[in-house]
Amino acid sequence: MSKKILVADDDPAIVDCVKMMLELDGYEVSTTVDGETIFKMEKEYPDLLLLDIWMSGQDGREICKYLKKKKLTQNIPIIMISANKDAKRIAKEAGADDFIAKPFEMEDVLNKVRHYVNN
Amino acid sequence: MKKQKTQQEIVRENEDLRGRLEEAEETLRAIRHGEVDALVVKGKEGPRIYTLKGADHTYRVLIESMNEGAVTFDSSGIILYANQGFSDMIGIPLKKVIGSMIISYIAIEDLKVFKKLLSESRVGSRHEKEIQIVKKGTGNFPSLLSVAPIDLENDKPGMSMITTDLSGQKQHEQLIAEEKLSEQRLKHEKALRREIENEQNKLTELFMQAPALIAILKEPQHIFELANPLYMQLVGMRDIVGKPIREALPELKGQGIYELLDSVYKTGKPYFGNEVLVKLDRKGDGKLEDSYFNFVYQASRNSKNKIDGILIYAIEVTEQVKARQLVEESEEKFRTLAENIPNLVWTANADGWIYWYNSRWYKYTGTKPAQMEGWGWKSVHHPDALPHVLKKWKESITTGEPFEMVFPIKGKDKKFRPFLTRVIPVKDKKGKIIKWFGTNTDISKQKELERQKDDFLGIASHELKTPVTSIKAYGQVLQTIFTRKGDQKAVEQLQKMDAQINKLTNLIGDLLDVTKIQSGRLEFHEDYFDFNGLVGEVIDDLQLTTEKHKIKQELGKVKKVYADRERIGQVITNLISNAIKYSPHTKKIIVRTKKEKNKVTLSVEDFGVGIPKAKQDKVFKQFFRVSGPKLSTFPGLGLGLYVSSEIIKREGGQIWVESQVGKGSTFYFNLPIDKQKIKQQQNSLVQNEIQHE
Repeated sequence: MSKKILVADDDPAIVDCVKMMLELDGYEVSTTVDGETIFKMEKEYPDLLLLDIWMSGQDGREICKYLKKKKLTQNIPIIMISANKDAKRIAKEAGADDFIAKPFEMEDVLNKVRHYVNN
Repeated sequence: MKKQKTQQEIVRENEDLRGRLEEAEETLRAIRHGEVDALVVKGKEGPRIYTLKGADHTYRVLIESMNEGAVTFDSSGIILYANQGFSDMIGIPLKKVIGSMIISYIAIEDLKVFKKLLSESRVGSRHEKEIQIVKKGTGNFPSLLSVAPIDLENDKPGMSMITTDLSGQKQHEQLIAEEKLSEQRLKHEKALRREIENEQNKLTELFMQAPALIAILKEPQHIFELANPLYMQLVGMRDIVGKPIREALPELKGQGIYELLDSVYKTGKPYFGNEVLVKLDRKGDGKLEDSYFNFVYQASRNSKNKIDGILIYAIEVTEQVKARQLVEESEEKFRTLAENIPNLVWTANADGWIYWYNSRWYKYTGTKPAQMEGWGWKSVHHPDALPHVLKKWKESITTGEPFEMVFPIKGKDKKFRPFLTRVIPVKDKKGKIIKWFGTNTDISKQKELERQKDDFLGIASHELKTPVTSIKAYGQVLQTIFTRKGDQKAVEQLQKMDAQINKLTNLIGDLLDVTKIQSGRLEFHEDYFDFNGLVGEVIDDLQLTTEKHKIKQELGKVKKVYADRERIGQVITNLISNAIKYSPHTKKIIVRTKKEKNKVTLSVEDFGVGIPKAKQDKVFKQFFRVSGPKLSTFPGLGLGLYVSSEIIKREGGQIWVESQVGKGSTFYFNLPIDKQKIKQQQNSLVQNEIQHE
């Protein structure tokens, strides 16, 4: 059974191309451009979350902190994505497992996803 | 029954008395002439025999004939014997002297001394003292008394005394003393005269060589008696000595000088002139030149204390006055200018003491001159910015280097606005700083515009990154698809597209950093990190980007370094990327690290195109690129090294390059290992300085 990955970014193009990348690598990908949906997420949890730091209307850091606090979701690996130079620090502060800086190499994204999904 | 004396009895008694008188006189004579050794005196208590023990006839003759007085007296001071010399000295007949008291001939004021002499003499030997003796009719005279004990009849103690009249000797002594004195006086006078002559010579010399203008005028017409060489030069070596001033220096007419001299001669009051303008014919060619003098006219007096002339002592100050007039004029022009420009302007002494602000300063700050004078400006500075301002300003004062800085100044409305402050030293001909000229320009509008520009660039570059990210991702997805389809040509095209997208990404990153650097908003997150570890990571990443180059590591022992790991990583990336970029035909790149004292140095060596010597110091400037025929092959905005050098500078290090054209370049940078510690030390220093203000 293929692993499920949720991609959350407020830019539809990013969501679209990241989805394609991951699907090419055989993952089952769901997407959202609205942070609110992650808060409301129930039951069908993904195996990994790719989360943009700046979601319009929502702060990616808050979402990350929320998920890491919640018992049911705290074990989902979260990789934060950002165009900000300080992506690494921000990700660390929010409690994310890893980070990817925009723009990214497809290879990097796939390597990191594989790493967390397989562990 | 009393018997009546007969005529016969009376005659007999008379003869008897005459006989006894003659006998007595004979005895006295005999004693005086030493013919008698002893004599019997009939007293109330019966006859007493006095013998001069050891008396010798010869001595007695000698004693009688000498000028000195010789006296013998008993222990009660009764004179038993005196010679004629003594009698003459005291002016009393010998008959009356014998039997009288010795002390009656001693001056009252010398009685004490005399008694002391006696008591000393009783001890045995002869003693002498100068004692005044009373002479009847003429008063006291100095005498030398020489006293010795003597045994009298029946071993009774007595005294023998020789007196020598010293008045003659004294007079002589006085004469000699006076003579000596006058001789000394003469000598002294001579010496004085010589000294006076010397002084006069010195004075004349001083006169002639003094760096001042000196002249002596005599008589009410002010006739030049003397003028020193400087004075002569001043008047064009005209023949002035012996001439009255009105004739000697006719150009002074109407300038008030003659009148001044007349008044000094008349009143005797000295006149002090300060920077007085005199139009003088200095070359003797009839042309008058403006000259300024500080001078004194002092009346001189003759031995009868009557004014007989005037001494002129003057110093020419023309150059100073003219220079000052120039300065005053330029100062006036400067102030007019300074008051009419929109900047805040001020001037300070060489030591930084601000003595003048333009009115705009007071208008903006709402302060009064008394509050601002000197270092009063500190009160309108922001306390957070002040220590750095003070430190930099003091550095400039010490080194003489111009000062430039942006810092906030508080306005009348209590709001701080950023001001660009520039201070330049004003130097004299010798290069010595005489003052500082400062301007403060309100740049809040520029700052606001800059901020807007930075914000725009920040947002723009962030926004640009989003589509670039998706373009890159789509491209890579496509690459994967075409790879799987086996369309190699399409894959190659897409790889080229990806490389271009990477360049675009770097450009966006550099632009963002440059903006941040220029606005001072390049943020640093400093902490301790493993320096060699970072170097290894960067090399690993970059090794992946090049197949051609082999990046060699030669890492020394370096412990943790306190700096921003990301930023330092950015610099190392930039240096290695450059090495790759600028060595397209060689393979080796060497990265070295080493620790020296409290610094760590990293170098990146390539064997590529190199940089010409003249351009080596420019590579760290904004927009510099290695140019030449191969320009097109070396892309980039030339921002990378600029950003790197700014990062290294901000981290307290240095960056430099060694290079040879055609042989390659080595880029270096160093960093303080424990900046944290240094920072703390500096902070406490600055803190101390502020407290000492």
